[in-house]
Amino acid sequence: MIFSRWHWTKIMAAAYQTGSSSSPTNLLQTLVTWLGVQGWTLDLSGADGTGWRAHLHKGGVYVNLRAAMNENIWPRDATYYHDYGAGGYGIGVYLGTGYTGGLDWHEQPGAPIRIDDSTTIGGGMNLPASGGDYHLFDDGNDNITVVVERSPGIFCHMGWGPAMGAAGQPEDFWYFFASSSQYMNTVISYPADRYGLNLSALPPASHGDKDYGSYGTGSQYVHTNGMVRVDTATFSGRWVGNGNYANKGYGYSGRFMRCSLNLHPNTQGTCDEDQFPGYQYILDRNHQTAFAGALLLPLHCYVKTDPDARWAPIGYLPTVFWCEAVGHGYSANEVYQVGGQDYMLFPHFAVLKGA
Amino acid sequence: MFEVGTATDYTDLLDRLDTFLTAKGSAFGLGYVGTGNGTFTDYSGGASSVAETFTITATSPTSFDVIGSISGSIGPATVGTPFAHAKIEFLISAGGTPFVAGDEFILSTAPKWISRRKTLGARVLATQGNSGSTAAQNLVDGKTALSAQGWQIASPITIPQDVEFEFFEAETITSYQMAAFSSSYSYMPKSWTFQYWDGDSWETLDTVTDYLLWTPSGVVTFAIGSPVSATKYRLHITAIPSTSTLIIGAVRLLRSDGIDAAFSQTIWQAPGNDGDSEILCGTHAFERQDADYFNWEVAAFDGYDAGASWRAQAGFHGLLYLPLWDDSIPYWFIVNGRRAIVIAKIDIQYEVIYLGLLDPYYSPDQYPYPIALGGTLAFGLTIPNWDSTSWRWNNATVQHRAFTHADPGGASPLYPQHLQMRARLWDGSWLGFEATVNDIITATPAATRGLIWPYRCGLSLLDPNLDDGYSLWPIMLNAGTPNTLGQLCGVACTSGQGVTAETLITIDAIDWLVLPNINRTDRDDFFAVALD
Repeated sequence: MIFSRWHWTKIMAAAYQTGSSSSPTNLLQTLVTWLGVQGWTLDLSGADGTGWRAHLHKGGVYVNLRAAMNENIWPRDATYYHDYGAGGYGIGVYLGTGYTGGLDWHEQPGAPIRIDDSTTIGGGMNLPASGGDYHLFDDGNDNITVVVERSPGIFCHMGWGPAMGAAGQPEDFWYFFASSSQYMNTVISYPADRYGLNLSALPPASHGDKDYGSYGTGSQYVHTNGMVRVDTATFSGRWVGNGNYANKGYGYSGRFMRCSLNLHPNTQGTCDEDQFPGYQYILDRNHQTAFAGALLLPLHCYVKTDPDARWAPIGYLPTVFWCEAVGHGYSANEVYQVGGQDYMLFPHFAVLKGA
Repeated sequence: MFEVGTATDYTDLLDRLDTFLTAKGSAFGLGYVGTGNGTFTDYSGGASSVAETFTITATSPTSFDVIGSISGSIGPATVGTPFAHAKIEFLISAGGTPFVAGDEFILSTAPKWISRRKTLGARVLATQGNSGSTAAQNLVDGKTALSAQGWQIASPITIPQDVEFEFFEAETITSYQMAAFSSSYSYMPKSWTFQYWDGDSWETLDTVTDYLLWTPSGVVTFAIGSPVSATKYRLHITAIPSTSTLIIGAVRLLRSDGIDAAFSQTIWQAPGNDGDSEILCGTHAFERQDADYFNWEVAAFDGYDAGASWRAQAGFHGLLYLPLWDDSIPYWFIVNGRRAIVIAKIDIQYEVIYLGLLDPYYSPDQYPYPIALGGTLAFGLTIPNWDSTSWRWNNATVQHRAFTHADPGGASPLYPQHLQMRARLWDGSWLGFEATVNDIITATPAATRGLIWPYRCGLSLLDPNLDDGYSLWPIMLNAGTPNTLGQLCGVACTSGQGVTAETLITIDAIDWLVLPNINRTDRDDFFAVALD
């Protein structure tokens, strides 16, 4: 069930499209066409490297997208890339405040930037070369969610929107999320099970992209794969991310964000879970057994305040909810009706599909 | 709807609550969309409220149409003038920005609660034996139902020995019962008169002489030939079988309806917000003057049987308490058709009960009776001695916590009765829910434990919103099986950062009253109750 009284926003005409893509580039092109129907203005859609780039905006929100076709897509200087490995397939995403045609896809204005080296922080879906079956959601308020079944039963996602669900923000807080950090956006070879790659992605913003055990200084670190743009009074850099390590390599922007959910078994307890309303002790209690069903729980986010070092609510993802219905009486891609609304179920999460 | 006031003592508080629940229907769910910034206050149902929704729409800056979804148009209402109707009552007051045509308030109503049973009980004072574990007060307020402590005095015993019953409101007693314990029936009185006080003198209603028929655990009823209404009765004991010991297990003073008027008890039937439900809950006030406690026990029931005692009602679940005192009590009552919340301020602390339904996460077919009980004092199945100071409002252990912050301490085995927050499951059993264990949340809960979210998961460093407002989180009751039953109705979690007791958080048209966990003031010790 949804927290209808506390956590609900107005619903306008929603849009949904599903289909199959043949590659990341094909999926991106399909997405661009569909976004145009939803009223997004196209700034650029064209080939880039061996893949494709697209830039669109609606209102002041600019979304930057890049399909990787056997390549790296997140350069951090002339030699190196943020995305690990020698190149692969996927779609990268981040939001910005404008579009400049002369700049590369990853250098657009207003992007989130890493502390220390000021390169762009983003996220993405790691995809196979053959693309996958997709679901495109727009709730009617420009909250966009893309879910891809990258292999049978294995799902990944990305999304963005102009306003987090209300929690007393002084202004609308933009957000974007993806199943993988930019670090894992295009990787092909990896040493262990990875959510969003060979395992279905964990819910958006939920600290679901753990670092390799063999990389960095520890195995409990979480890469940033969800960000919220807060007001300048809260953080002059504006973009705060859900990584848990104050290091640029993990997408740290200079200020931490936390999510109420951390499902990753290897990092539970490392994301300050007992300091703000979260789900740490009900992780295996989301579903119902007395009768078939599961909760739709909001993915609340918090920003670390300065100088108090506490956590202030910054809203929740307005159209995506933590839900464990799949495997507990329901199947992926099934529609779950609550309160006159349809939600499409995926492993670990559900997306508002509209009435 | 809600009421704010001050009761003279814990019995007056109960009397006021009964009136508040049963005199008028409830009004709740206030919403507003419009331009004017005037206020909508003092709302309640009326004597004939039904389950419906009122749309109250401005036709000018000073006039509103009042249209019920069942009752139709019952307006108009004038700004600044109380609107009083048998279906709904309220007051719209002008603000700095005038109302404009189309400004609209929404408010739902439900029928008034039904009183199935009400007695305020009696205070007992004997010639001897008014303190300790076997004080005379034990005779009347059900304490013997839980422990064989009754009333007992020993040599030297004064004869005659009076046991006086002072009622909090006049009662007409038509018979009385005396109960013996199994092992001490031979110490029951032998001769006595049962009398009432007419304002000037004690008048005899019944005389018993040389009664020697007591049996182990026997209960004997004595009829009164000519009952009268009075506030004071007494047993005037003139002879006893043993000069060493006098023991009476219990005394019941029965009205014509068979109800023991000396045993304070209420049973209410809430109508539900649909007007068709039968939600049964109640209270039992009890006290011990010598131990200086004056408390309520709260309970829920599955059904009502006029012939059964309070504890013998179908599906009875109790042993959950609200510690009060015999002094003035500022209070807040908040009621809709499904549940009641009582907030009592004792000294600088807040005692709160929740009686009624959750907002369930199941359909009515799946979970037809999602009743919950919240109190502030719980001991488990084994309660303290009746003269224990553990019963007092200043009990500072984890036995005494707000239901939102329920804590079983180290109870093992754990029973629902150890917890201040409980709910009835779909199979009729009850489950307790914990927010902490010995005031900490860091221990991972066992899979079988019922949890109160979000408190059980921690919120030690939660700040207010960035705009300095406050977020409210629903309080979910999460069973360990793993089902989540639902959320408390009109009670929410909030940060304690920057708030104090009685801070008001305004969300849309509703003010939420911030309360501490009794008197604890850590950042995670606060919750809020909707004044709606």
